[in-house]
Amino acid sequence: MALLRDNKNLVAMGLLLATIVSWFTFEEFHGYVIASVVIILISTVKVKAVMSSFMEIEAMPGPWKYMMNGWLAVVCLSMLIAELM
Amino acid sequence: MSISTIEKERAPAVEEGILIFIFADMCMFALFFITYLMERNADSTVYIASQAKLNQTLGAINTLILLLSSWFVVLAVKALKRNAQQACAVFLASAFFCGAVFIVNKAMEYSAKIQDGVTILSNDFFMFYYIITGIHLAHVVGGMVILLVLFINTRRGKYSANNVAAVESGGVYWHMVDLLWIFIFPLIYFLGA
Repeated sequence: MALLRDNKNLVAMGLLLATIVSWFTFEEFHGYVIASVVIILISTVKVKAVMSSFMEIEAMPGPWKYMMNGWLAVVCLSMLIAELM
Repeated sequence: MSISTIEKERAPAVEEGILIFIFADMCMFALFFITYLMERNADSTVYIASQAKLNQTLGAINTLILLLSSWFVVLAVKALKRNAQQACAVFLASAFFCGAVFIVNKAMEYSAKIQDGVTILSNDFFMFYYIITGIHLAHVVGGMVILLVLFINTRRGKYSANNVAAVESGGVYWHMVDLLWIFIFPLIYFLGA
């Protein structure tokens, strides 16, 4: 139970669960644009969780937080635009 | 005490040079991703047909393995901050083991492709497949070397609760390897169809 009291452990378990959800979304709805959008959004949330909870970018000094979030926004939007075009 | 002072005290002890290196690496991969997306949209038929030949199950398993390894690294840092060097070393070794499993899976995947006659020269999709996953694999190997060094030094008692910078820096690098794969997997293995 001590495992569940720690925020980072909960995030890690959520990441594993989100990967399994992504996988089933692909298996069940492969070929649908909406499924691709859902998978991209899940991946983006997962990367944001790794950045915030594991890398602790919010606590980093200087502009690192903004640069990392900017990188994430550029990659996520590029994937979404390419998928919807 | 100002908010910025509090943030600085809480900030992970990662060298600025490491952050510059990590961010430059991430930007390089972002360029790969965008180039791949542009090329894929220009010739989607070849990309979709080629993508169907990939082993998506193995890719999903590798995603779970890297996430698990990142979790072990988080636990290693937490253990070190409690001065529990023994537990820290066990978690670092576990993360290293996950990296090794990732490499074995990737080797199986590459060898199956090569046996089927699929190489980097087969078409544009497989050129991107081998380049992006290959460069990522090189990062995994580099990360494992770092984890091994951290493991040995932890066993020798070089790190403690007052000296966590090396383990935190190595950890941030390993998390970057993980987050890159979180995007590479859907991008190469199943998006676009």
